[in-house]
Amino acid sequence: MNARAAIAQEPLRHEVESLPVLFAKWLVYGAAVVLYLLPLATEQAIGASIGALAVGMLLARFAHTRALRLPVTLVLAGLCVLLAFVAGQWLLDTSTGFGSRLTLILSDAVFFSLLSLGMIVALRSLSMRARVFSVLEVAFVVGAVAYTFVGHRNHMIHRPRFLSDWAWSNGWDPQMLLQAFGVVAVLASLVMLLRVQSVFKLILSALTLLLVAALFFLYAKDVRIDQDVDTNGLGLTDQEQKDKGDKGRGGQDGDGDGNGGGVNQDNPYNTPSSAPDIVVPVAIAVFHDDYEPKGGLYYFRQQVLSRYNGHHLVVAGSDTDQDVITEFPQNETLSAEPVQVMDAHLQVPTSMFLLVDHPQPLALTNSVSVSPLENPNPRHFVSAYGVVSYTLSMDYDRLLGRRSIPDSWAPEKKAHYLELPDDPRYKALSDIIVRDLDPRFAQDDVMKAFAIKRYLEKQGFYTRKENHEDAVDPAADFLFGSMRGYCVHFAHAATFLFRSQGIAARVALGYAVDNQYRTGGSTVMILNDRAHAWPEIFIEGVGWITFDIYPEQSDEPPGRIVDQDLESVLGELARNDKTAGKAADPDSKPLEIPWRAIWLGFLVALAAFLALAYLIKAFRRLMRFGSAFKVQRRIFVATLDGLGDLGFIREEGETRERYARRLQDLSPSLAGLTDAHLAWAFGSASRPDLEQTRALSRKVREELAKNLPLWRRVAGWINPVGWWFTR
Amino acid sequence: MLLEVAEPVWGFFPLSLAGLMAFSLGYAAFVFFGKAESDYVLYAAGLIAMGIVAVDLFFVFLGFLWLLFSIRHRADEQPLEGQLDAGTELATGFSLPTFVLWPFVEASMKWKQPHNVEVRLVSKGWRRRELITPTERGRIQEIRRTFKVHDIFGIASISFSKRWPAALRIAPQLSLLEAAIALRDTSGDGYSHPSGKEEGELIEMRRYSPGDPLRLVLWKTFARTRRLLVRKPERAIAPQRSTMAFLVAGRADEASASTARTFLERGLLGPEFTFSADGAHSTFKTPRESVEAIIDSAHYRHDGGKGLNILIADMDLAAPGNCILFVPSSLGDWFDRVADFSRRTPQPPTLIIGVDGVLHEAKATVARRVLRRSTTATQRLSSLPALYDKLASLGGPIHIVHRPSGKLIGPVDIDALRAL
Repeated sequence: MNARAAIAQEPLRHEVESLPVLFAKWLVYGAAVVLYLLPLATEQAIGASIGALAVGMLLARFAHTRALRLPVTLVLAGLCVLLAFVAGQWLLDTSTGFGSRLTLILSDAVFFSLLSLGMIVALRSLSMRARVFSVLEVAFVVGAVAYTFVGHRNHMIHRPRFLSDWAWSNGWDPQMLLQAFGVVAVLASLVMLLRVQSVFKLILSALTLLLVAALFFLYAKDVRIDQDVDTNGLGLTDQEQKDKGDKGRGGQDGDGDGNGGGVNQDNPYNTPSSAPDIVVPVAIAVFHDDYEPKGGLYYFRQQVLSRYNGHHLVVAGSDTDQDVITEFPQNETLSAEPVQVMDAHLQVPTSMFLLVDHPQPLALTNSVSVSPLENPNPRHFVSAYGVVSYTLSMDYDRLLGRRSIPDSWAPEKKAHYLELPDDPRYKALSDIIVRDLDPRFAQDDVMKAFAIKRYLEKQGFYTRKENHEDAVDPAADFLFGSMRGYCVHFAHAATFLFRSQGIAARVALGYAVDNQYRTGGSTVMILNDRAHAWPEIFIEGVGWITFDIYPEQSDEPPGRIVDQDLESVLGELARNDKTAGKAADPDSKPLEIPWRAIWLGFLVALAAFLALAYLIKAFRRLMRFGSAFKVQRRIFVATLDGLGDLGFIREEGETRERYARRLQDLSPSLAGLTDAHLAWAFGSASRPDLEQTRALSRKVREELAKNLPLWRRVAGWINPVGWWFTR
Repeated sequence: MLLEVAEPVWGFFPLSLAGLMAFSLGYAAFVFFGKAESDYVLYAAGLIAMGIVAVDLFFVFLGFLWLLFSIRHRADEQPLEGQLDAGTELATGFSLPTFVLWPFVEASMKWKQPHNVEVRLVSKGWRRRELITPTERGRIQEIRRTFKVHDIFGIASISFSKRWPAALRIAPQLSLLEAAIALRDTSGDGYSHPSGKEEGELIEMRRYSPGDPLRLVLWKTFARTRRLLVRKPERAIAPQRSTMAFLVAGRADEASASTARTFLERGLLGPEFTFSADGAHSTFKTPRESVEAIIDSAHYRHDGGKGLNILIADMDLAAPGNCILFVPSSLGDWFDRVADFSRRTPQPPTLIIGVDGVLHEAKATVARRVLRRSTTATQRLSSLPALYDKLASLGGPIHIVHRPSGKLIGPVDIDALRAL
């Protein structure tokens, strides 16, 4: 039979990975499975699963080379997974006689090992049939790492604790380590995309990848992720503003020139019907002194809406609401128009650290000055500034008897703060509300305001499920309709009712943090789901005061308890403690990588490897004991080792004769030596004796020495691993 | 069809399906988890995955440019000339860069036109030399090589084609001689006499005398008549020494062409023969001309059997000699023309079919068919019984030569194949 005919009868060669590549894949798979199973399974189950991975990989390889149809393999893998559930449960339900502990371990081991077996057979079979499925293997590995550290998402920088605590206490930022894990996971998972490559190409590519990864890491290690944060639809963050701008609806309404834009002015009634799915900290406030708010709520104001645009209240022009600071301080302290009267207030200095970009500074109401601060940790905070706020110190009953609008106000200003929709129902309703007031207080603005507030609190129902956004006047639709709505409705309704009674009022936007959900201490963590709108009224001799409505009826779940540890970690970072309060000594040196020991270890390992390689080389080259057959074989192998050292390697699928013919120009005697070896191997009667074989081997060496330059021969002598490639 | 048309454009799209998926997953991880949920692991993983795809693409694109540059000047080279047999390897002198010092990048090449050429690249120094092995006969006037620059991860690849002029004459591979000899001997009662004519099937008998070799005894005759007779060469009064032969071209005719060439070059058609093949405009009397006709017939597979008219015009219908038709191993339009030819000749021609494929295959049970996919590179012989039955209806003798083994496939083998 000639060569062509022989090839014609051969089965198709199935491209499968070489065993070293398969072993590397097993290692990566094993590491991934350990990560997946660590929180779920016992040690025994993890060990069994790793073993099952090895079996599964070999089974998949076997099925592929034996041309088992893919659907059949997948069905078998599926049955294996099914068996995992059945067998695991059966072991638990049946009296095995091993005792409860051993039964549990056994059930766990059987379940997870069968699960791993089915999964690996399916994945590997798919991957071997089409390379595109190898990407699933990559995703499986990267997913294992992501799953292990999933707790840190949404700026929960204190999770997972096993990493976070260790990293912080050693002066390392866990976010940097997490990024490193992501990079390493991708690099390791690339093994899954390999098939058959030359070792040299593999090493060269690996080095290039390491260089790319190192450059990337240097660039990205200090990057902070600007997450899109939902602030109850109020649009308090920069990103929300950009998103609304992208939709072409952003900017100022009406003809007002606005100042700084910022809040969701296009339609504050267009808010989601539920609280944000993702709760993230948006800012940290650090009080310089002890302070607790009178009403139990900290109000961090960002913007106020006082101009009526025919539909709702929007930011007024730049000459109005000058008591609100709308710009971040750059180099100098910014002061607000002094409308707050000092005698009625307590001065509260705070430091604010924003974790999410906001278009305007947040500050505890009512801020009177904002000064620049050095950002202590740019990886976590987008900006930092100091604030001095005047918070109301007098009791509300002492406000009684005061008027709202001072005589000193210009008619335009007065008209501005009393503007309301052209709807007589506001006035009619507010008149009804204040009608029942004690005649002594019938003309008292504060008392009227309290009556309106009380009315809304008793009659209103707080819910996100109705937003009245399609109504011509959503506030009227809420107030004279179902009275079901959320903070924006209550704030607008209250403001319009106040204004209808001649009380200057406006709506403030920001965050309201309930003191009862805090953990104490001088740090207040502000979460995005605390975004809020509330009314403010002006009282002569006091200034603007927060006049929030607290509906008695609500279908909202109670607020989430703030994570103490996160609040503490962020607070410590804000105080410039690099260890986030985790180390006994905040000034202790960060953990240093023992590069010297690593290098030493590397050198020792390299030396050991070289010593072993040279030992094997010498042993294979010099050993000449055993039967005549073995000796001739060793002579032949030693000659091939020598050729391997020089880089002349027999290719896969190349016969010995063809290999000898290929090197005929270099060493004509190699063909003779090969024939001699084959004669020995097939027991030919005409085989040469050992002396002739030795002579042929010597001849080959002499020819190589004659035909190759000295440098190449020296390189061959130095090469420690030429024997590895001998086939 | 659509893919074939789009291939030149699609080939320049540098991302493979795996690359697209890797990039998409990386992007999804980066945007939907990294950015949307501040997942630092997936942020970095997604970004580095996209980065690796980009770097990979960059190197593959550079490799593509380098390959383009390194083969550009070869487009104007002298045409590749040569004469070789199908199944034999030829070093064309064309070579590719090895990309040995390039990270990620590898290059491969195959012949797109003609497609029936296997290409092997053997490294030598910094280049990889091209070795070709044609699998079918024919004349090649133009080569279209398809190059593919890709990465080791299967993420990126760019492929393109380039044409070169050529003048290659590829003769069909010679079949093994055993089958032809066995075929020659099938019409006798055992072995032909050593001193007999090459045709061998015409014999005379005489009584056995002591000293005659036992292998010349006609044992069947002895069994019938109890008389010991031995064979001796016939002394024919009007021996039919002339043989007319024809190669019918068609799909899967390469093995038959090989057999025809073997018959011609080994003299198995006798000292006097007339040969023709599809595509030829006349008949030929010499093996050299006949083999050229066989080579040319590769380009007339769509008109298989049309050339039989030339043969019949050359045939003496009053005193016909042996007539042999080498027919393809796959049914086609040629069958009706052969049937027509068979009706027009005084006696049906001998049909010889060359086949490739797995001769001894385990019975494909239902379970085997369901569980395992096809693994053989060559054709299966499962359709052979149908062809055999169809040709048998013409009434002439049929001989099937298994090219890889050189064995004859007889009726028993056909029945065995029928049972598979």
